[in-house]
Amino acid sequence: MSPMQKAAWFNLIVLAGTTVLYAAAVPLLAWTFDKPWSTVAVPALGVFGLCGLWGLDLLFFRPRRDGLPITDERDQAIQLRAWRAAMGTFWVLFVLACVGSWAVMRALHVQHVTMPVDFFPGIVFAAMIVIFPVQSVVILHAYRTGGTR
Amino acid sequence: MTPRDSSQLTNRIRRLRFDHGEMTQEELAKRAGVTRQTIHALESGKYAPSLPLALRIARVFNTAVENVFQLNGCHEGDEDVSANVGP
Repeated sequence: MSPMQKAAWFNLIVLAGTTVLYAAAVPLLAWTFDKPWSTVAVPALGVFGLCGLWGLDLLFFRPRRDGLPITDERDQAIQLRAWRAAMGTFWVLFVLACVGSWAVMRALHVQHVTMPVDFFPGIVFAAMIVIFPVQSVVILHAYRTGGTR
Repeated sequence: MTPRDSSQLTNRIRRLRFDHGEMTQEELAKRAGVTRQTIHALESGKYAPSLPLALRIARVFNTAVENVFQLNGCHEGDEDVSANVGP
């Protein structure tokens, strides 16, 4: 298994673990603070901060002792393909969210809205949550199929 | 990535490895400067290499690149390139 495959699996496992923790955190917080689930659902998103562990995937790219390269042109081609797919996916979702929310508000005759300041870093956070997993899935698929198609 | 259609490209890497003292994939990878997985992908026809990599592999076997990689449906002499060359 190449370092990129290991990193992709690591990223997906971190995301899966974090999602499970989130699913457990919401009822736990609701029970602890005696609040409805809908109230604690947003603060519980802080659990996804554990996705910062994705940064540790660099450990899979340590130099090899036998002198062989860690990655080569095929890995780089797969990486580029995965990055394009991930960015493309995020862009489509981003445009759909922006245009969709605009269309809904127009239909409801809402001319002005206020947004919390958390919205803007939230976009970056959402981008990470979309880009890393999509990239990982495309990487794993590309290695199975050879990476050129 | 630059799409390279590997379905039309065949190669004799496995044959050449065995002809060269049963060279292992790892040894060829080391000498060509790529990972062993890439050599495996090349041999199984899943990956079409870049021109520099094709040339490096040919150099390892001390032969011409045409002796390592062949394009299906395209044989030597199919296209008379000299006809396109001006005086």
